Amino acid sequence: MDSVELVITRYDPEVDDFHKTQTYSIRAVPGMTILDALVQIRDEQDGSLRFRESEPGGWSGSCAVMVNDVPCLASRTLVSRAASNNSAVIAPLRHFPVICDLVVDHSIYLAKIQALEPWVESASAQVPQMSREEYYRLRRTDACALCGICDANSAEFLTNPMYIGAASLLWTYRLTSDSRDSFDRERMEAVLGNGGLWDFSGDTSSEDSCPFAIDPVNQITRLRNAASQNGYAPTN
Amino acid sequence: MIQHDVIVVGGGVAGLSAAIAAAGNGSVAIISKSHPLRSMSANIREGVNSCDDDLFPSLLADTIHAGEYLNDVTATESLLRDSGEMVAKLEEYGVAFTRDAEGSAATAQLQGASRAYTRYCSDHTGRAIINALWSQVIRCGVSVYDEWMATKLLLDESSVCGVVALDIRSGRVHPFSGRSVVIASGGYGGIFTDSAAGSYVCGDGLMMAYQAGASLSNMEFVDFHPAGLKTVDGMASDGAAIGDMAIALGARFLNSDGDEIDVGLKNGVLPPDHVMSSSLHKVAGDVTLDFTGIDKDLLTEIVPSCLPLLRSLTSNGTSGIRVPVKPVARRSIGGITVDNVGATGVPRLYAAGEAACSGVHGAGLLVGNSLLEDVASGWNAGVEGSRIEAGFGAINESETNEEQNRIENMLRRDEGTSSAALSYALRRAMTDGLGIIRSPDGMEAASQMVSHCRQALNDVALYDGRKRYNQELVRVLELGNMIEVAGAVITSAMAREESRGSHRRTDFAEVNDDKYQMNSEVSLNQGVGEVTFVSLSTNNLSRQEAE
Repeated sequence: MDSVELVITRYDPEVDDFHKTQTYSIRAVPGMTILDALVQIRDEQDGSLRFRESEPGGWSGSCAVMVNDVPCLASRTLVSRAASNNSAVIAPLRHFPVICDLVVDHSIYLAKIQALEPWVESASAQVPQMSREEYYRLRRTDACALCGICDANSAEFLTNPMYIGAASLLWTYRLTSDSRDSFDRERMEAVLGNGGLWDFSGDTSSEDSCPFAIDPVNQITRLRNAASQNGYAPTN
Repeated sequence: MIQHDVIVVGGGVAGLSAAIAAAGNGSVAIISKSHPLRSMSANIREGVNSCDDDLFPSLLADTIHAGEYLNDVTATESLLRDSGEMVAKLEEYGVAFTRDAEGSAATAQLQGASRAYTRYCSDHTGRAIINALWSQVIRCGVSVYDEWMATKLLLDESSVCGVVALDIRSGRVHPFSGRSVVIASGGYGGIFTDSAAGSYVCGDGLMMAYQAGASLSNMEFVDFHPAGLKTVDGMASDGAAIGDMAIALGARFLNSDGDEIDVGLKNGVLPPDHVMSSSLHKVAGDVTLDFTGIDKDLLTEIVPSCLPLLRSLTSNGTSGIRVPVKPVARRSIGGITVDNVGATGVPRLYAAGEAACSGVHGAGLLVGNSLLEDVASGWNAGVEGSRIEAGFGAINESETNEEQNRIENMLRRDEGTSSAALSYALRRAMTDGLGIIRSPDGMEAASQMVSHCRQALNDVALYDGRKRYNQELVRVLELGNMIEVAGAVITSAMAREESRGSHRRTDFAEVNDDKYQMNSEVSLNQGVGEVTFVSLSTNNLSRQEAE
């Protein structure tokens, strides 16, 4: 593999009326990731290209983008796999407002999480000791970086502007499963309205597409089951 | 003018911890180059060391052994004594530490530890703590200025009274006024190409403090993690630290013939990071980390977050269980000189976490003490910073304008050299000259590179002069910091004519307790960095006493 074409979305809302694309040719080497390619373009060809960088490993979740219409972490996507025909299309994360080029605005997304009051709050002074079963319920969700990849897969955003997203539901599941938190009922009720738990279709990211091996569908299904068991049902 | 009682620079574990501690006592702001959820602390895959009274003596001994008798014993004892309380606080905030089959708290025995001290959340402890502390910060009503880069400390007489920061999204520069400032902006691992940190982790906060008159301690010491995932040399995705939990499970290092490398395992105890890294550094040819001997269920239980990464980046794409590795810079040990509660030598300026150096790590890191230090020192500095009762200092308008002009002028420089090439050359020279083994020639070459970069920085141009979200501008500001941090590391490393902990020299291969069981301190004198050696506190142990 040597020369690869990357077709990258360019957009500066202050200047451009529409998103446009620009094609760059890069020198690809085995083992190189999409993030490495973007850095190469910025450093050697076009310093105006904007994207969020991450540290090696991408644990921070900063570098989430669309590659060939699939949401992923740029730092974990090999050019050799993405550009099978020696070309790949790179666009900003779907369903997120664009600040510039590949940089998206997470503030509305994170505001939804903040609105959940996502801290563990105990009504009693005595914090119960966590059991192993409980730890097992919580352990995967705590790896969530809120990178947005699961929700870039959520078609619900297109049909329902009130949709709160898989991450909000995942975090709600996490908090209601924590015995140290005393507000299960309130938390569950907060996600039962329009665009909430019952509007989650399940065709969001599977464990395979979540870079942190969380399985949001599985966890949100458990939240649904818990809601049903508590007597809640879809309103319509 | 934006005003808060306490201004915390940095949104990682130390910064969030400081903000929560300060929030009960006034208005608090976090200024952070990236969103707290994106901070480098999320990158910390090992856990938090914690001990009860029984384990305390052995954790202390292991910490001092890893630090090769350069630890400040008073500070170290106080950190370790607080560890139980800190872990309890994290649990109260919602961190779900791993439980063993009986339902008790699981602990891991990591590199350098003779017993199992480390509480962990599989292999995502840093992430779990960041998420929990971030939600507490929301609860406390802390104002978070994310994607803002603090560039300069403001002084009233000799006391800190605020900072100047660039709002990266708008490109505008604003002064902040505060009764106190806590620097918790992380370390400088990114000044090396072989690093678990991005090149943007370059000691921004250290440089602000240094320029405001604070000194930097023990800058020559940097922890190199033995198992950074090797992809393509020098590229952004190269070097993810993946080793700790896997090594604890029994992952083995193999040489290019497939034979196991002796990394110093003795009686079931591994040596500290710096010893393992220098053993691996000596191996000719490629090194792989082999997971094949580990039980599959144990792997999915303990390293579930690393496995997808290994699968996605291993070029054969199949197993992800035998991966190429190399030592990578992980934790900066040096930092802004602070006392036990995080006070620097500059009034109203505090520092915490990786940005600070209180002496708890000595000359080398015991894995698991980093997160503990971040939580505890952040908390202490937040409490101290919020105790300042004196009024707000006077912001000097001309100083603010000068900083504003400096930054805006950079945007107008459209002809000259590229910052990326300079940054790469410098990071390469640092890896070659001041990596795991340091030779006089390597250090000299790096030193010349610093001089070259200082000159060339004046001619650096921006391809793009737009103000909004100008990452090139941020990179140039970072390069300025990186050059001076590298300079401080080199100056300190050259002055320490011995080998101790993570500082290993070819020309002075032995430790020299008589002369150098002391902290190096570098500070600015008329614009030039000068090193002095400062005695450790009287409580410190001599090597013979300790052994």
